[in-house]
Amino acid sequence: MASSKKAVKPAKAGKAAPKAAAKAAPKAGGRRPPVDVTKSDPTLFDPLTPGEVADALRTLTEDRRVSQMAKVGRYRVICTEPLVVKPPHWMAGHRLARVVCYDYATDRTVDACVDLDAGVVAHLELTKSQPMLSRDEEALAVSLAMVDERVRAKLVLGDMPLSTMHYWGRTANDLAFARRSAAVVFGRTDGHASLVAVVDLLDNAVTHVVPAELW
Amino acid sequence: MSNVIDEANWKFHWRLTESAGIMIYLADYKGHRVLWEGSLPYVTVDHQRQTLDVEQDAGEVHGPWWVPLGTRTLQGPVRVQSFRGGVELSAAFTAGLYHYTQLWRFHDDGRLCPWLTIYGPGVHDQHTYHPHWRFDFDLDGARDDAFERYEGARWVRVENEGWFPYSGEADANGTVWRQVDFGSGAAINIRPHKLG
Repeated sequence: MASSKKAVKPAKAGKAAPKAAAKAAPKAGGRRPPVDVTKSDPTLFDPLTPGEVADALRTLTEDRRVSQMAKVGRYRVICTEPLVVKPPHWMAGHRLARVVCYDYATDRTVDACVDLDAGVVAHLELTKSQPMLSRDEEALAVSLAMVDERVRAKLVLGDMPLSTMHYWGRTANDLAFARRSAAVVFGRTDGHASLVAVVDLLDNAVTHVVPAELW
Repeated sequence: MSNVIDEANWKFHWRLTESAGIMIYLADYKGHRVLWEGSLPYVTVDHQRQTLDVEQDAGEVHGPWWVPLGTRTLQGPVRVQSFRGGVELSAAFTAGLYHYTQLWRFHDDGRLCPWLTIYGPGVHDQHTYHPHWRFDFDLDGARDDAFERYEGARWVRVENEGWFPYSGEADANGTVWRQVDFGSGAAINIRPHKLG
């Protein structure tokens, strides 16, 4: 709903407008004004090349803050995508990669911004948040569910895994409330779901098997 | 296919993400920068019980789930098509029983319409979708912009980040939120989709 034709009068809100305008205006005799977002380089948004992905992962795993994760090796790379920082941030104009890993050894997420131009980890967050499932985790959840006796006992002819969802429980009573989990939905390809198997990805075990109509 | 579209008074870039659908970025309308980036980071699905027994606890048992809309769930190519009065980007995503079509529609009169069409049966009928969009507007650049919401029959400046849901109140044009650029006096007017 953008319209640059229709001029509007902004609402008055105390001193906010003059402050903002003053902040934006260059100081007399001071440094030149920072580059605005309109001058941004679109190529910075381009997907990372395989070489850039490899470089970002190498830079991250060599960072001493995550050396234990790299040493133990119980982690999965969830995604590596380009990240573009807006001016006037000091990293604006740099080729950046966002790397998200899940460290199973410490049950935490590693969310890093790697500056590929400088070859450093520019920002690192270690949190308990849950990133999306990686493709490997989706495949693992399916393989675990397929060999579970409770699941096999309830599948009927024609049932197959239809999708793997990233699932988290609503209450603390649910194991998936605090543990990385996936829900594998079984059913027929004609669009009928039959069974849901919840897989704990930390213990590699099926924790719940629920008929789809009761989900 | 080029990822730069220059048509219908719009010039914008796009790319398919790993988890946030089709992202559009650096979008200009008639030479004026409008948007830094827009995407659909996630769509969660919540389930309600099919039946409710009076003996049972009324609380929901299961939490939400989701699957990323991106390269792994894309069905077919991302399409760029012209329509009368504009150009649109669209892509279909499938994750088992969940089917989505994401669209970005750019109208030559300056309207930009993000769409998400949801279909597919789901696990059962009792479920609710929660699409989460992200818009990072930069009207004529990032400077001199302010965000306002329509409240109490007038526009009110939003000073701090927060949660400002649609309360049913809108101005005469149906606009609920807007981003205003002091320099040019232009505004991005944000209107929720009208139901019914």
